[in-house]
Amino acid sequence: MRHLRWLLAASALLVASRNAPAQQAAKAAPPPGYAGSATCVDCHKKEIGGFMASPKGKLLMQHPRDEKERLGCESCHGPGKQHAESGGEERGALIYFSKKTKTPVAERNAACLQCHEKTARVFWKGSAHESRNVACTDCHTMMHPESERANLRKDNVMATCARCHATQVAKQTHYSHMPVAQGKMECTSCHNPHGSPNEKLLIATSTNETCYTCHMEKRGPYLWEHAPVVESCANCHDSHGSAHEKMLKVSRPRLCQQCHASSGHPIAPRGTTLPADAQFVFNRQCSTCHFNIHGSNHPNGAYFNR
Amino acid sequence: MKHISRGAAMLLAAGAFALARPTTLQAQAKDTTKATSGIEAAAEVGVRQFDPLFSIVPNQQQLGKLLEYRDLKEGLVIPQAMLMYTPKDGMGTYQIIGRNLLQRDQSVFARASQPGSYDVQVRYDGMVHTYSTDARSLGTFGNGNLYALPSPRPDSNAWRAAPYLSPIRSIWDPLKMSFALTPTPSWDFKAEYTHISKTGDRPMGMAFGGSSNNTREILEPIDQTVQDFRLTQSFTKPRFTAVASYDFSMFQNAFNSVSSNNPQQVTDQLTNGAAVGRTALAPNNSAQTASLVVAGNFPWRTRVMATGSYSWWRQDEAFIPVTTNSYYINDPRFVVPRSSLQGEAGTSMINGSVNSHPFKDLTLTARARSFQYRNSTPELALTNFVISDRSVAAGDTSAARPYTKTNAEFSAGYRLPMDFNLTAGYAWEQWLRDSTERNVHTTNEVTPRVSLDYMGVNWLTLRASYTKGSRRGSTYNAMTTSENPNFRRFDEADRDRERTNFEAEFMPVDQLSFSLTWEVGHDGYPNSTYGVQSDKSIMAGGSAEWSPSNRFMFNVGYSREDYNDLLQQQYRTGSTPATANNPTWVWLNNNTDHINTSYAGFTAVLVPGEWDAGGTISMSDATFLVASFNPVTPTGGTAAQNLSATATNFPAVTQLLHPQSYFVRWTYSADWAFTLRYNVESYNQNDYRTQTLTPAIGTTANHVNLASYYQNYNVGWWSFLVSWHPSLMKFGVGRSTM
Repeated sequence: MRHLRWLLAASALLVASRNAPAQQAAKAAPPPGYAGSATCVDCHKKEIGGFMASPKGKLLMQHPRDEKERLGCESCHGPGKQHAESGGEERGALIYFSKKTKTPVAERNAACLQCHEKTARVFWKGSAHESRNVACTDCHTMMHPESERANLRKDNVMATCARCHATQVAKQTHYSHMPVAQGKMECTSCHNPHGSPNEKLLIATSTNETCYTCHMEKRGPYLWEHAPVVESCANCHDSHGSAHEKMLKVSRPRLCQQCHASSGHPIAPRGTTLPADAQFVFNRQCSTCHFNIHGSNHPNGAYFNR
Repeated sequence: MKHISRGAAMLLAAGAFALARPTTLQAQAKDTTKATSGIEAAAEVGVRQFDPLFSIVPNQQQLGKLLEYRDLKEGLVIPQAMLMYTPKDGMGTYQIIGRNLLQRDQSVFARASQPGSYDVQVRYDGMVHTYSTDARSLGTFGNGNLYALPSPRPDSNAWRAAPYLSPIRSIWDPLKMSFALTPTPSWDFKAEYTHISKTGDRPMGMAFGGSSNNTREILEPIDQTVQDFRLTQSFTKPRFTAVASYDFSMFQNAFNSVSSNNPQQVTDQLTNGAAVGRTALAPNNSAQTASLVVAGNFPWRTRVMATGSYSWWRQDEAFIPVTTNSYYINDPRFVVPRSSLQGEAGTSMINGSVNSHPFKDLTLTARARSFQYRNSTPELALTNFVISDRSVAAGDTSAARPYTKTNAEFSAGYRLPMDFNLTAGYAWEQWLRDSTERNVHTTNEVTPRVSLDYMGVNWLTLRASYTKGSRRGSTYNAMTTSENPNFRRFDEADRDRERTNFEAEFMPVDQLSFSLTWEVGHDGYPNSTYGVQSDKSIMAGGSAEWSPSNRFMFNVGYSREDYNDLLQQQYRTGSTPATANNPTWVWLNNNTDHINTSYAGFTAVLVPGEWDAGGTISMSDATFLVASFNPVTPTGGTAAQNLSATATNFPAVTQLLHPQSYFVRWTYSADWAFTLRYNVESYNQNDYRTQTLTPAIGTTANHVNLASYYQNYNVGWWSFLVSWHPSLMKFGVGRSTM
């Protein structure tokens, strides 16, 4: 605990010593081409009022840490002197983020990335969303956020993603699904929409490692491993939802019969006669006996039935 | 109770914090757009009552699906409570928010942050997963993790009269904490800790005999803990970024095995099985992962990124005894060479990418990635197995199944006139597997793709993409002599893939918007005579939103999804080519899913500042059919063989979920609001696989099961909520009444 206290105290001192000159500088005259936030307030009082109350507004407008943040409104919107001097008639070099903007997406995104191209956004450039010309402001809004976190345009992550990913979101209404609609998970629990070095913008290096963040019991390694399980959970499951139990892509026993074509009971096109077909077609089907299908640590578990 | 006590403890701590500070709470309305200082609080409290007017009032056994991921209890409800402190300088957020308090699915979120300096977050989010509320079984669970049965064993009539069990569910208590520090705009440090406690149980099967008899469905006892600790340090300058992280995670299971009495036998038998079956459950394991990201910005708006990640997994849980059957316990044929797995595995990944804009409207991206799953767990050779504690079979040697996946991709995007954005790409993916363990050693897939996006006018957005992939593998090796030589496993087989996607957003006027989505996917397996033949999906949907004024909003949406999976197989009775090649024993399976989802909603401000109302209604209607048939009538074998080769259609399974929710809210003053909410939800499922089951199948109790399934229900419930300082709960007031 003593070390933690020293670390916190040192950090606080560092922050305080850095903020003090920045706060003084905030009152300095704006650089050439810039109008200064005070000028913006004259005409945009309503918009700025809401922004001022937000954490980002407090940082930029009241407690800037460096020259960039000291520009206030213009740290994102760019130099506005020409716009101000024309009485709002001319756009000048301003960057607009509104629905009717003519500012190219790349230019708008660059304004955000000048501060946010780090941590979770480090892979934005070249990402699937960047290459499809998605703007930061397609999902986020600084002035009128509808969400509790992340300044989203919709009131939650799923609704935000639904704008383009209707198929995945529709699966949330299927018979089996993860508790995303119930607010216990978000699309961002598994995906990083800002870019990732991994397939499907996953947060972990593979599908399985993403699933293991919650389902760590599946990680193993096991004495007896099931090859398609080791390679990808998505071989059998549709993680967005399915009409089948346990988010399976196809109903058992057909799911298993896709691969298990050797002799014996797996290949028979079993019918629905009780009790002869009971454990093959009804209830847990193949998993009645082969319940350890994700892997077994039992010395006799080669067939995943122990 | 653990989760409830945790939430309550956090709230008590928050309350103590509030009482210990001088309050500056103002009685007047709080406008969140104005920077205020001091302590503020808000709450939403009410009652919930199931509607007795419903002609069918569901009993506990019918509520399984309704309670799948939620906790609906009658009586006092606290959908929201909030405590917030704002310092005088306006910088900083100190708040604690509770939702669905005192319920199993309650959540508590605490945060202390100062923008640009630090951010401390603690989140508890209880999660319930109900598997069944109508399971029935006999016996008890106790000593030695054993599901015990009386002696003599109950007969089938006794099983069919088995009592209902308590709801079968697992409860997750996830606690997540993070501490982020930004000492300068260039440095970010973050420490995160996640602790998930899982308790409860879930259904599982257990086999005692051969493939055609003697099974029992029991419950897997769950007492598991997942812990994850991550440290991330990043450094950013305009031209350079570096991120390093280290992660340690650990899984612990209080139950390494579970046992069950055989419903058919009270004593061990040499060939007919044991009185007790015992299985291993998920073993404890741990993993460490280190990763490093380096990115640099260069001329021509070029960004170069390199990522490396390496993880080590360990699992060394002691093996449980080979068998419970006393006839084999001391048999030298079943000696296990070592006492634990000594498992070591892991993954590694390297990724490099370059993104550049050599000209104003041109974007070039190149990426290469290699991912490896390695497993250096020493092999374990077993001379013989005792299958299901019953029958002796030849043993086997355990084997790891490592693989390497390598990708490379190049794409170019160009901004065309009229604000069209055209992107074309070409991707290559290679899998290398162990050919002694998998059918195919090498597969190569090439995937060209093209997309066109239009955002030239503010009232129209169009996005279209097309992808066509072709995967081809090296020689396909059958893993056993009994495998049909023309069979291909879908994950290794040659595959032709197509994906087409179209989206449109149309906003003729600010008050009205439409969106359309159309998505088609097709995986074809051109060289698989047997195995999956094709996998198709089509999704078409649209939505509309209309806000005739700032007082009214209406929205509707509809989507239809169709999935079709075609499988071709051939029945066989033995391992010789002669029996494998009876062409009349071919059967096909067409698995089709159709899902229609529709919804409509509205919100209305009836009297500005006083009355508002809203409602949503949705319907998800799914049907899936497993249709199996023989192209020609099976002949050439014995009558019994021909009958076994004859495919049968399974009855269609239907699922219909129809929830509705309506509310009317009266804002009495800025400090008080009252919400009356009414929810109706109906569920109707027709599933031959479960609803025809009784706890015992057949005349003897050789297949006993829980006979549980999600039953139909039609239920309504009222909620009356009183909101204090509703404006402080801007993002959820009146919503949390599921």
